[in-house]
Amino acid sequence: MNRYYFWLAARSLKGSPWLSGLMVLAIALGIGTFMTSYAIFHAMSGNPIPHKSHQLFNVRLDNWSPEEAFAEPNEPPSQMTYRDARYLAEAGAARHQTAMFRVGMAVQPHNPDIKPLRTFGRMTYSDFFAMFEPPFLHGGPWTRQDDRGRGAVTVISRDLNDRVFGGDNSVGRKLRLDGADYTVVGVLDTFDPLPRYYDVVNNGPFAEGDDFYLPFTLNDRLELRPNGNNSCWSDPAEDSYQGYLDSECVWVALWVQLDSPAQRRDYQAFIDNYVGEQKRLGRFPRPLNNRLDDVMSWLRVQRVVDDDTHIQLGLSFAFLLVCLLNTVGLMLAKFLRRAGEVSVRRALGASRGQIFRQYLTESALLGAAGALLGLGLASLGLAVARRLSPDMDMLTRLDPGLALFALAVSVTAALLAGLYPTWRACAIAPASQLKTQ
Amino acid sequence: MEIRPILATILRNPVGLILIGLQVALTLAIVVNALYIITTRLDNMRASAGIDEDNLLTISSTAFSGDESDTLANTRQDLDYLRGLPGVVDAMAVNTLPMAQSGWSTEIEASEDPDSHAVPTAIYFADHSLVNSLGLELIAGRPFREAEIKPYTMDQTLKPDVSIISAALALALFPDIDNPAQALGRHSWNGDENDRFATEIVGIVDGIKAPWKGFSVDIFNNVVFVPFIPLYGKTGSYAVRAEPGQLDRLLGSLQQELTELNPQRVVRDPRTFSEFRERFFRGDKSMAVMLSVVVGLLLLVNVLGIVGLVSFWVTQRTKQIGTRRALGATRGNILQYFLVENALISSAGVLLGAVLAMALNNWLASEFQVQRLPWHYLAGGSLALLLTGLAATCVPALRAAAIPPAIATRSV
Repeated sequence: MNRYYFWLAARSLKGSPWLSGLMVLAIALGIGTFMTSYAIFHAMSGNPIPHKSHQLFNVRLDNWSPEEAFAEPNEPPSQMTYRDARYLAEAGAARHQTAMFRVGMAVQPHNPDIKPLRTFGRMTYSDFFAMFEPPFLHGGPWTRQDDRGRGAVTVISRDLNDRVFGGDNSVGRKLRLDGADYTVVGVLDTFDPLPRYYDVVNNGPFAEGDDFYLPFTLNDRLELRPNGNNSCWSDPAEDSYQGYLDSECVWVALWVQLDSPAQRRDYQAFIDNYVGEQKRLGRFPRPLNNRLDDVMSWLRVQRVVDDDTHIQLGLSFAFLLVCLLNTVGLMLAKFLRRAGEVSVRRALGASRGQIFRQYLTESALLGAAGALLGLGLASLGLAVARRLSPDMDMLTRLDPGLALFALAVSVTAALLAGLYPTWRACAIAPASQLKTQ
Repeated sequence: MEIRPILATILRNPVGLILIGLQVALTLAIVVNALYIITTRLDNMRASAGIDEDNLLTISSTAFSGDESDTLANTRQDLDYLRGLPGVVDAMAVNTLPMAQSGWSTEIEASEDPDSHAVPTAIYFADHSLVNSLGLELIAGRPFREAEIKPYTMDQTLKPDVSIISAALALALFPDIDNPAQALGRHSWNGDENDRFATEIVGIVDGIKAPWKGFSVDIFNNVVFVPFIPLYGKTGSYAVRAEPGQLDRLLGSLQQELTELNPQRVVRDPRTFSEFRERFFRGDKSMAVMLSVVVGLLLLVNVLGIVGLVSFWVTQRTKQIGTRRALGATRGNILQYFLVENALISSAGVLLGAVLAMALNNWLASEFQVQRLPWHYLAGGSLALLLTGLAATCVPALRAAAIPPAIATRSV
């Protein structure tokens, strides 16, 4: 019976190609526009590490000025001072923890045929690899022993390995960074979580990743400045690198892994207690305001999905609504024009339920056709978006999941749009239209 | 023309017309807000950076080893070399450039009291070649003197003796003056409570922009130049101003030449100022394009919907129209009927739409950084939508007017 309804629907659509075309076009334009914005929004707001996003926490301490908050409403700084981050990272109160900051260094390949490169990397602890789980192509992370012993070791990205070592397994070989040699212990495979949640502050949520990773403790010797955000509410007490490390300037991030709510409570108590101690030493003039944000909460706090994306999504959804209103009107016209046919079918014994199913089938068919055309329009829209922001390339893709979502939205929308016209068609009395003929 | 019979018809079978009204209302709400956002973005994109945008490039180098005194020596060597190159107007060590989206900022005050009104400003490093190197417009005072320029390492607290500030910053800092030039010779104050220091303002430049827009619109125009050569570890960055027409040639050769001058370093690809500008306005541009597409499609859908529905009514009412014609109604009467009907329903839609538009704007203003909608957008949008509605109605209404009276005598 359903096949019969499909046949009837297809016949009816063919019977009035202009009106049907108009309806499909309206749905397709609505879906195409909405899906263009939605695909971008979906990619931006996705969970980059679904299996443990509830266990990874960004830590913030409020060491800001007594006079004003770092950001309203009463937000603590988005990064930490060096001394606090380092202390907490080495205190070991969580299962895993790491402090980190981004640096720029010059790579001097030992092979004279390869030109030197300016690269960007991350000073961090070995726990980084256990927490954020970057995939290894060769070798593995350095050890906690290396952390403690300031080991001259490095983990490099697949891309840097390709450029400096021609893609060979470079584990055990030396990489020359800013004039010093580091032994490669691991080579990562492509590591592009989207968004790049562990550093949305400095590098941007959709920017390229790090070329290399070095033990944080090496900074005792290297005395590096961050290649990223640095904010101070008061000047360092003395004009020296140590003065900078001891200052209230924030430029280091701290992440911890806490596997249960109990661990989370304990850790919150631990940092509150730490800040309490520091307050007694005259630091942390503001009221206690320390935060633990898990991955998704951190992405929200940092407004990773920007205002423009929200506005585009909202307006394109409103546009979809207009397209649907339009479709309701057109369907009403189309269904009521066939009042005579309905009367005949009713007079010949079709029940209201059967008429209902027949017309809803037609609506669904319109929705499906609209979705197909709409998906074509959405890929066109995304191609335009790609041209407008080439660095957001990976955000502008349609995948099968999104296509199914579009189909579902479109068919649901068409069914909703068809509901009232169908109800009106069902209400037509069997004989009413026969009389005038 | 009697309105009452038209109203009666509308009231008897309101659904189709309500649909058109709602469609008009939503369309108006979206279109005026979108158009307003588009206009704001296009305005943003017209902003000038206040420097010689077409002829500037930046290039930076990072040495493999050495300390800040080596960086200073390299910087001096590079600048001497760059300034001597044919096709180069001048060159200067910089920390950043307008619209570069990263840089330094601070808050300065007009008096020694640290609690006095603080004005946020971007900080640029500059030397005596500032005006020539960036192509700035110095509207009062003097450039830095060569003797005033000192090297600055990251460990120092930034305490300049003299500064050159933007006209906007002068006015923001000293509310009592009405001409920025009056700020010359005055002092700005900075530093923590127990470590205050004053900086004499020796020059005023006009139109220069900060590297970013900051949290408020103000900071975009607040700029202070300080007389230092920035030494950021082993890295030196330079702004190079080319003679007209020479930029492309320099872009192709500078990296190679600086590397040959001193091979113990990485020299990065030079970037033109236009690239900074393009990146800076990328978001505005894509927003403007995306919303323009939505507005265009929305109007299209609106027109198609009205044409479609009114066509249906014309078909449905063919017999009545024929009867009216037979009873003496002119073609004009029939056309008028449909136009008045549409005008009535569109007006209702526009009224509702105006309320929706204000509500949408309120929401956008509270959630995002969107300004209040000026009333003329609403007025213009309403009028445009009414006219579009009437034009769209004309298509099927003219067909209705062409229905011959004789049709009344036939059964449909």
